[in-house]
Amino acid sequence: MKISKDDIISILFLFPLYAFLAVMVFIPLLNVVLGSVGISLFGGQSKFSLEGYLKFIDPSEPYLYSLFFTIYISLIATVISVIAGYLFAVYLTIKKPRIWQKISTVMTVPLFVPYVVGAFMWWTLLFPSGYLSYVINGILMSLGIIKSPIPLVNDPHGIGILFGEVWIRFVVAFMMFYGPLQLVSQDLVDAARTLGASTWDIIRKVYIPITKYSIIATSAIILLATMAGVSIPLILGGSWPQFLNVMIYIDVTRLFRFQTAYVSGVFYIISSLVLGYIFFRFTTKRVIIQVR
Amino acid sequence: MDTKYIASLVILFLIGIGIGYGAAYGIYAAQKPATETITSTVTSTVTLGGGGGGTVTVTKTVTSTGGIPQELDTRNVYTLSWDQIVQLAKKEGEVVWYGFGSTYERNFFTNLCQMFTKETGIKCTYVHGSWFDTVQRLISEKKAGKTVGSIDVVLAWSKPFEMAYTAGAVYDVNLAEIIPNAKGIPFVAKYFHDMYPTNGRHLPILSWWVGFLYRKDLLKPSELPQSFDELLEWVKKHPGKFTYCDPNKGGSGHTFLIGLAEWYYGYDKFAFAAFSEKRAEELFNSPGKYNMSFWDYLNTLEKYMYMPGTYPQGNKATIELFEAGKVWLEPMWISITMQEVESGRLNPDWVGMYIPKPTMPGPFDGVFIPFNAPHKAAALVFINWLLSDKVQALIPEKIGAYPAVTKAWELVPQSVKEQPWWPKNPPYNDLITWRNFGPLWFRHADYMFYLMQQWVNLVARK
Repeated sequence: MKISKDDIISILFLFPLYAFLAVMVFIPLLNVVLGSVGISLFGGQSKFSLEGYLKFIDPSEPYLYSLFFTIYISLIATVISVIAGYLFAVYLTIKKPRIWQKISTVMTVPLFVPYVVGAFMWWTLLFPSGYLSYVINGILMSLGIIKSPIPLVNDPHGIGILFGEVWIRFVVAFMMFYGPLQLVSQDLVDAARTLGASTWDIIRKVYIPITKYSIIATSAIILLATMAGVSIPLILGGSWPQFLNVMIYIDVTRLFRFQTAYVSGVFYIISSLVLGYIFFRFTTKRVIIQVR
Repeated sequence: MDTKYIASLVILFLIGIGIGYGAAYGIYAAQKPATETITSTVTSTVTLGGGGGGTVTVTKTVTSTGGIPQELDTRNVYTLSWDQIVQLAKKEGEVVWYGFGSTYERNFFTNLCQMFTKETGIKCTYVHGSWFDTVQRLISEKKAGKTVGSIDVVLAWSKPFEMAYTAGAVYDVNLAEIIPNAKGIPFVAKYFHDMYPTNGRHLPILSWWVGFLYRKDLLKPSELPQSFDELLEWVKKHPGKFTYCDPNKGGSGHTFLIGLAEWYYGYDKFAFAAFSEKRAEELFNSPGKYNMSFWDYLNTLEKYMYMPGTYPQGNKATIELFEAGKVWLEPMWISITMQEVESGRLNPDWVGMYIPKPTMPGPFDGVFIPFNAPHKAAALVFINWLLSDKVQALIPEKIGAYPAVTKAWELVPQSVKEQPWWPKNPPYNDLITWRNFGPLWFRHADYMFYLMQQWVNLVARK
């Protein structure tokens, strides 16, 4: 095979990019994978072992359950955020309330508040003496749904995590939907109205079909972001069950079990890759077609 | 055999010896402290007896190697007097200290650095960070063979120290022998940290302690569980009024857990014992008090605790429950209690503190010098200064911890000792009596870590 001058120029130009990807992406990932089997990439003691994997898949250990809990809570947070964000974006698109222009910047606050601060804010609200805790528990007790106050933060059901995640992800979802919704032709909406469609019909039969790939892509991004976050589940989550990334954090900084942390990391990477593949592989082409 | 061949071999052999000797000498010379050599010539005149008479003049050259080396290593430090170390420290002129803790600790340590600079003329810089990052950095530097680093003194607790020491990232000298003020530290604390042998490579400078924080306005001392034996009964009588921090999220939680275990099976089962997972598993699943395993005991306790199954996620979250009036009794750091009162978040009239029988174990946290500290002499002088009575006596007042040097307690103002966050029950009301006559228990780091790991699965998960 002959290497042409153009090939050499291309290689030279792209070399910094490949080097950057190798150093910043490939080597860290390789380090996690090798670390999970007890091999150190950067010197130190190395001994091949599958102990970490055996521990991870052992149902009596907390890791596998933590992975399921992470996916489960992330899915719920994604569904709530996407539905709420979408409906709010549709509402603004259809109604165009005047006040929105004045208060729209307020909506972006969660985007600029550090996750730790947002999480701690929710902790103070949902903490047993927080006013939101009093309000929610009061309502539930007055309705006879519960007999005594339930924990809304650091709880075993992930309620606190859901509050924190949805607060941030809802805004992300809304921002991502608002743009595509503005591109939907008003003529289609007017035509539907002329034919007697209700607002709900317009949402179902006009907006959703046109923006469905945007919904899928946004859902994927939010799901992956929720799964990857650590501050919110660390502060608002309970002792059990825990997000897998909280387990990684504790394994590394508290218990110094690096191999188990690496194994959790590998499962995290695999889960993210699978979810990413499912969403992007089947949506990207269609999104491109839709854009065209 | 060819003579030329043999001659060549001999020559090569001699050259080899020469190179080997030269290399060995080079290494030796590199390791040898650069000394100030004093050369003097002594001339003696001896008159010979005997019939012949006459005089012989003998001239000798004497070389003294008692000067100060350019820098300290693991050997020459033992040959120097303390005055010489101080002299070298002044020549180095700088020390960099890495610590951790709350904003109280940060402010206190920063002020200490300023005091040290003012008193000694050696510039001290305090860097507030995370012990984990600091130790990981040192380990990386060791692996990378970086012989001159940028950190001179590191504040660390047992596990990070163990990690650094195991990795060879600690200046391998017995600080307890070299530093004069170290003699005031309790002997065991000088050589062990959380029962991990430090060999004097780590010296405690303070001692954070966990006690039982209780609502003084609601409970009389006689109404409290005087010992761990009475804890379960008390919790049953006062459902929802007791909690403890998630052991993986805060030190008050895991200190309580190991203290409880040492009481549950007897301190002798843990005191400086070797660790194995098998033994730990057997021990904690064996029947202790109430004929229950340790896990069964914790799960029984949980049923009557505040919001069973929900554990506060950190020391701060735990004391917030107390401040909100939700719980009346909880294990808590004395230092955090002090900081919460001083910041106005906790009503001092509510605060009562005591240590239940048999006692509560605690850590003696302290400092070590990294293997590649650029100013080792200054680091030694700084640690010695930290252990001076004057500085040690500031610790209780400023951060709510005990001094590592026991007798410094005498210098602590009475007004500080009377604050409500200090345990009032004897012998804990007088540190000197407590340290001298006990009971002074220590945490066993390995068993404590085992408990922390298993707790998630066997208590929280359940």
